Amino acid sequence: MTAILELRDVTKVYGSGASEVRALVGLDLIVRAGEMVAVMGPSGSGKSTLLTIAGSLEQPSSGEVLIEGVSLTGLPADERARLRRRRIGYVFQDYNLLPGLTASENISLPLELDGMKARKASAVARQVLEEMDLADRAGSFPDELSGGQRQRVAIGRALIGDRRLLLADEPSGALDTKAGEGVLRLLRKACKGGAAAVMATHDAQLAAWADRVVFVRDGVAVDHTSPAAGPESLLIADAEPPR
Amino acid sequence: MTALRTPRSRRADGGLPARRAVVRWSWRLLRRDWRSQILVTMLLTTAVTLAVCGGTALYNAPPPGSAHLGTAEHRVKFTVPDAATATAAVTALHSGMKTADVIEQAFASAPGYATPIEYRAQNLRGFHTGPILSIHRGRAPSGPSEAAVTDGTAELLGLRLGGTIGLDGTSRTIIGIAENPADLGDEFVLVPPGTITPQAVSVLYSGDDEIRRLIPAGISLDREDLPTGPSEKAVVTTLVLGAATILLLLVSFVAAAGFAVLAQRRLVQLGMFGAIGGTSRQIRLVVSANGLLVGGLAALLGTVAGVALWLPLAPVMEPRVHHRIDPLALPWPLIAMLAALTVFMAAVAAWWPARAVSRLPVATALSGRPPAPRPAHRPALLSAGLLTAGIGCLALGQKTDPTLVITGTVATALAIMFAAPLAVSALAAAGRSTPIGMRLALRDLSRHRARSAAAVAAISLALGIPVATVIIATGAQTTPATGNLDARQLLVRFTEPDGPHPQDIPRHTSQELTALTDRVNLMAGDLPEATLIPLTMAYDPAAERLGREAPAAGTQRAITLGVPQGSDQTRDVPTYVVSPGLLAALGVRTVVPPTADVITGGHGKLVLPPYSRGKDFEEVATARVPMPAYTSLPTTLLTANTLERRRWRTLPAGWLISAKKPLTGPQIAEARKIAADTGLNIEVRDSQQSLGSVRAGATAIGCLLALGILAMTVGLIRSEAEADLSTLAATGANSRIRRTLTATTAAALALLGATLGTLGATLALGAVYRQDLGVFTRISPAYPMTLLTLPLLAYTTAWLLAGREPPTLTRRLSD
Repeated sequence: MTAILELRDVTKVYGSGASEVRALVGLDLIVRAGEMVAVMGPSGSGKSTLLTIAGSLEQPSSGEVLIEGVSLTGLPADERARLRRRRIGYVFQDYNLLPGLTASENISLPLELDGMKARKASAVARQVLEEMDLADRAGSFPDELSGGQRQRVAIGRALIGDRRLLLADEPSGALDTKAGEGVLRLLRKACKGGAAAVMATHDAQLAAWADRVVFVRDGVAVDHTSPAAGPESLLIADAEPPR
Repeated sequence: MTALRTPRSRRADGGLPARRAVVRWSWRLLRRDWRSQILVTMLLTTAVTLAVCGGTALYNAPPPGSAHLGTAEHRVKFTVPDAATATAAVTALHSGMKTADVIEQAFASAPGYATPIEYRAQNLRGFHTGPILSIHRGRAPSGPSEAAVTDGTAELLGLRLGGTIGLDGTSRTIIGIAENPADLGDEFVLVPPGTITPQAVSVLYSGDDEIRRLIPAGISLDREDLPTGPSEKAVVTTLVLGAATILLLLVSFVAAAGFAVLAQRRLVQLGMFGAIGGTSRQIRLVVSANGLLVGGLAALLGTVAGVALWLPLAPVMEPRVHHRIDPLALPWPLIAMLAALTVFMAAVAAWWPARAVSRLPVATALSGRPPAPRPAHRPALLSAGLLTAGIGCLALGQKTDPTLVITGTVATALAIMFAAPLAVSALAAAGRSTPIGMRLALRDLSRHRARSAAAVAAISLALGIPVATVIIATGAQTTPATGNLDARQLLVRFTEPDGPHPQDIPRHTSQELTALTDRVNLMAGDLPEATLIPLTMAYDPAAERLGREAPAAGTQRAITLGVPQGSDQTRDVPTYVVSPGLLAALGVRTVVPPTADVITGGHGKLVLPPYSRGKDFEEVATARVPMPAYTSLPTTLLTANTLERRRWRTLPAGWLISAKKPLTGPQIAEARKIAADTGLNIEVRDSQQSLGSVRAGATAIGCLLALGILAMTVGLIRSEAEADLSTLAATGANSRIRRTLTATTAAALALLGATLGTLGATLALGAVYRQDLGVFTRISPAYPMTLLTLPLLAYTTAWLLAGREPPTLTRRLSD
């Protein structure tokens, strides 16, 4: 299968001299289309840094990052922004929906930023909301939605368009178990549709949903494993998504 | 998820749809966070209100076009020698110039008044007379037995509607009150055309000049044409725009700090926006659009408020500008330019924070942490350079060169802004050994220097402007030894010093002079131990023969010396004749040299204007002697030798009354009453109370503005150190620490703002007043004390309010 994300010998150093912190050290990682990778590790191990570098939000101190074979090294800021609009979707622990925009507008924003007319983008967002079973909340603002609903909107925004890479940082960290499972079910569904996903978590039960688990400690990938059949194998195909 | 695969535009920045989406989000954020932008919006709105109302008032202050031309391009006036010539000329004009207005004028004496009353036969519905003739009350006269009079004429002659007037020998009933809307000081009696025997005729017309052939030969024409070149309105428009630009520039400095705080508050949202693909240009647009929207809102509200303020002001202005004002005749192009200027300035104010935020790495913005503070030495160096340049420009500008003064002011203001980061760092360093609460607060200010420096800069400007206002107003304020007159003096003149011909002194008979002297004695009798000193001026009996311009009827033109102002320009100086009493009153003990033509207290070179064309100014021999510096006091005195040598004569010109004690309000009022009854002009010391109001008002507004900025920024800075508070609480710190943190933050910002603002304004105006540094010693201690109490007030208020956790914080944490 095609490699969607490739990290080659990536090192990230913050600060200098006595205050120098090596967040990632010579990390290599390949995530292919349809694959879901969980990144596990203790706090401060470099999980979030890995995601921000993979998502072009930060530049590595050394090494190379490729998205669908395109190297991010030397890519201008606007080109990286365009890549995020078209190819990369983010899901954060604390939802990070834009206040002031409705659920539908939050989802359609990447399309509008990419030049699609508001009406057309809104129609696409409405389809996404229907697929997320949130069609009746299209006009609701983020502070009118429950935690699970907000995270589903955030996933909808991460998936809309031709996104090939989903990056999720503790996507169910702020949700109860049922809502968290619903979120992971949506991520898996996206992977089955051909996307690649990288999920940072320190919950082993959630990591069991992934095809592969990468353990990171002190910025170094210490182990790559394929988990045993996890809770996903127990799921009913068309289970009701969480509220 | 088939719906998720959708083809999209390939445009690099998303084009118009993307910009529309960004502006929509910015508008929604503005609606959501409107409370946090009230101060900036109110500030801009107030500036626009003042600019629109003041600009409209200034625009309407000059009379609309000519007060005598109406809508005509030309006005020709001529005097007719007899009734037959008058009738022939009027008939010829009526038949020869179909679209001209012919106005007949006759003059009749009124008993007891020197100025004759004008009878004006004029058609109310003439071709060009609309703007210069209207009926204020009653109706227009329609027959030979009817007349309308102006308010002034009615008051002068004690007339009222229904009364009669017969000064020209024909009794007429007053059926209306007329006026010249373009000149409310134009007094006349309006009668229908053809009902008087004209002594003079005025013709208003436009287009081709055929009038000469219609007027009998030998009659000289006095012609007035529509002025060409830039109109007064255009000049006023330019001036208003210039003043509004400076005002809005200063306001936009404060607004920039507000926008910077707001941008920091939205940092996480902007980071998220960047994470989903917003380019740096689009991030910049979010903040800039907010500035544009706030500017647009302020422009709209300010325009409405300015117009609403103007409507009741217009009638109040009419008596002061001596012409009618249509309140609805608003200068829309000027107002539109002011509104556009406001939007532009707000956008400029938002541009800098927009640029700063868009340059932040997305990951840093997402973390919500402020960017690491930059070293303070670079802005400090820039500040020093700007301050040097600003002070240099102000010193060179000498209060007269507007370009240098504006450049110096802007450079100094920028210097204050760039000095703020260093001031914040310095205070934090100075507070290293203070108790933990204070130390932590000062350190947080230094850590969050980007926003605390912006707040300090805004407070500095908010306080620097009133400090500068106080210094300038004090500089303009007279001291006991300066000003127009001593508080114990009263100057009585026969003429109005600011009138058109102050040097034309009315001639009085000896009986009239005796009567006037009696009245002035009465005036002096009300004052404590007053001394009455007669003032005389000189005139040249041979002036007319030598070709000088004739004075007004019933007057004698007094000799007036001039101070050279250029190659052929002089400034007139009231010139009196020396007398022993006057010299004693002026405290002159010096022996005057016999060769001196004139003795003076303040002027160096004095010249005598030429008698006739072609002659040069004649410099007179001047002897300078110490005299009081009062500007209206007679301190330029012709000597007896000069009068004798030049064969000039003297004529009474007024009195100087000196009392033992300063004159009281009732004494001045009584003197004014007597002067009004006798047609005399009096002058007393100008109290300049308005300057005191300006100082107090500017200080109050500055302090309120500074407190507003503090309220806006302190909450934000402290709420972001909430984690520190939790840690402190966990280690046993009590609520007192929490109060100390907030109170110290507020007081430190106020202290730094007050110090920088005062320092900047003082240095700048020190350069302006470098030759009169005594201005600074004359400033009332109340003003520096007020500034000193501001940090204390901020500390106390913050201490009291910090006891409760702000509800916004609770919401923030729950989001």
